Amino acid sequence: MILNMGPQHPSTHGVLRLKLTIDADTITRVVPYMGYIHRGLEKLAENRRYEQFTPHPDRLDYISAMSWNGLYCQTIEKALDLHLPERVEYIRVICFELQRIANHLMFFAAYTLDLGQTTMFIYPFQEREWILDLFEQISGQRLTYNYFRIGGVSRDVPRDWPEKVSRFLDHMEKRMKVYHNMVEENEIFLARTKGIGVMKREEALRLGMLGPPLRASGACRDVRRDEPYSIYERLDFDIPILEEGDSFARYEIRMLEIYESIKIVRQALTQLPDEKIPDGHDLIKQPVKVPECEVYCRNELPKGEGAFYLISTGERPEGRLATEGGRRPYRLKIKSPAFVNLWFLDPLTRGHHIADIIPINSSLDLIFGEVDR
Amino acid sequence: MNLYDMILALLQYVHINRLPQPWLDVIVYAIEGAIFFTIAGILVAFTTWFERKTLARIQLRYGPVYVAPRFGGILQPFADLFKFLVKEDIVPKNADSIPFTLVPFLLLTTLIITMVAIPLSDWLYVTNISTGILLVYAFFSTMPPLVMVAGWAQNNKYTMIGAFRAAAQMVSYEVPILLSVVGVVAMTSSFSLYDIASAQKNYRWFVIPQMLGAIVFLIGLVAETERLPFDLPEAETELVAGWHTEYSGVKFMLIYFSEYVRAFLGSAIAVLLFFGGWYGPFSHIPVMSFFWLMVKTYAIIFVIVWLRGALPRVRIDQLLRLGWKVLVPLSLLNILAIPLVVRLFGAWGWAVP
Repeated sequence: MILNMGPQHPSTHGVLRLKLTIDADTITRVVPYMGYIHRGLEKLAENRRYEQFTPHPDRLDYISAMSWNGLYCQTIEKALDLHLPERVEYIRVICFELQRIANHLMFFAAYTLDLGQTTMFIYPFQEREWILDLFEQISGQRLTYNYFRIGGVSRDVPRDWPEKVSRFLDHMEKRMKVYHNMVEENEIFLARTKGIGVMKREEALRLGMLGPPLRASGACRDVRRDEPYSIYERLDFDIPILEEGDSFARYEIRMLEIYESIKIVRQALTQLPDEKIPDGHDLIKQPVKVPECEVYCRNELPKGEGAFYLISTGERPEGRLATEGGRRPYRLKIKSPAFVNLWFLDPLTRGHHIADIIPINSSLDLIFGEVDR
Repeated sequence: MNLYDMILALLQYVHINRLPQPWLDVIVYAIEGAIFFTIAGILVAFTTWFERKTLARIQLRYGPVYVAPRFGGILQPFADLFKFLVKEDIVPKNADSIPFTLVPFLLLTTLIITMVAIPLSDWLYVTNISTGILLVYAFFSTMPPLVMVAGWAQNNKYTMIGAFRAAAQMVSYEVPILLSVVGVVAMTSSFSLYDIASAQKNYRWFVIPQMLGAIVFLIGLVAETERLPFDLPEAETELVAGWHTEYSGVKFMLIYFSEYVRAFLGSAIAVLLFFGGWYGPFSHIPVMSFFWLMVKTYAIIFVIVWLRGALPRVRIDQLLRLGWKVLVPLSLLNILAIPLVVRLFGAWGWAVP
């Protein structure tokens, strides 16, 4: 029997359609159909100046807007060979890691909700709310921050902000124990996720899995360590690795990553240099002109390794639309980790029950703004 | 003095007691039916509010507050009722409209009928039927076929899967539920819920000698009423809304209503069987006996809501495994232990046949 799951379905909420081929209660094949929130961001990038496009990467993964925003700015800075003040780099890393915590909390909430646990959907929102408040203080926004600028940040953080962040981290560490108790000592949760959707290390690497799901399968891949960007090489942190590769491991790896993120933010806060940084209003007034180049810039986003591939034709007019003498990209390819991980639904769910598609789907932490772009 | 006598006395007062006995019975039972339906309606409305409020407090929310704000939004169920009444009543194009329409009505009717055998206190009952608990089970077990009919009539794959799941679940959990009651029935040598509850006077609750049976019954009750962690038939993240996906408006309201009637009646039966029925301090006063039954019933409903707030959903095969491999053997063990339990607890004042 063929069963259409979505797009109007509570667990794929309007953005994904899964065509399940089922034999009684066993899944034999899953074909994801996507494109329900395709907004043509790559094409949009070609029609915007570099500085005009900075708010748009936020809309890719609206759960972790900071990370994509930062990645875009880093890509352009790499193309311009721009070096940032130390303080900016530190602020960016603090934001990246806070965003990672917020993203993993959201993942955790959605995961437990999909398993039918409505209370655990509400609880992580308390801490996420706190992070949103912190971001609101620096950027004025609560979902799509648009805080980073090419060559800096829109404005320096308030003086008491680092203190507030460290207070949040203390609280977060305490709360992690609560979440641990509520989930990992819950027999039903374990029965629903352990041994469900197992992906072995070799298979995961061969098929190109990315991010936390890959690390949950036992492969140690993390851009922050393999190809350190920003100031990550100065910070001391571990890359959590788990061997099981099942839905439970994919959950657990994110909980361990929250601890590492707390560690990173703590270090960055103590090392945060006190210096004057360029004002965002000044930055936005300077026209960005990228010379003829090809740049591939990747980051470890909360959902896995994401990248921008930028082709600039410089002064040379090319293509149907002139690139305004290097003020617009000729092509900006977005590599989304969620898009890559989406295709693991089929190998992971094959042979499982219909009910198992829920923890597997949620454990991949897919976001369709990013998949459809 | 029970409800029947009270109504009869009332009829005498207005001088219509000179009718022949069969006609008088019809009038009295019609009035009793009206009273019980009203009580059921009010209690179920209160139950929906109670569940929403309790769950909200567990989840750090406020729950309903806007309708009657001074009383914690207690009139919210009535606001919901009026909203359901003005909703469009949609019948899907390819649905079989006659069974589709009939099922919600039949479902609620069969549930309300069970109130015949469920006393709400030592005076507030319709009749003392000698086969009480069996009658209740008989009406409860009409639900799987009705659900199957509804699931099939809607012509939708999700409702079909939901209906199959619901039927499988209810059929498998009826067995342990019925077996777990055998101990209580053996101790009182009666199937009547009134007699069973009366046998628990002086705090001789059957939950102590029949601990195992009570546990099996309560787990089975959660599964029978399709509450988390056993709400698979309507697992919303998998099957949208399970077997009643296509229902809307008044029909949905009836289904929603019947779910809460089941939860309420199931909890009341649990209290009558195991938790001392209407007995409590000052329960010789008629109002207090009703009060104690309600307090105990809502305590059980609270536990059910608490489970909903604390546990995720199990998978269908895990659910059936629990039913057949754990609960059925446990309830059989409980039956085997009856002679011992009767001998042992009979000496301490529990009812002995």
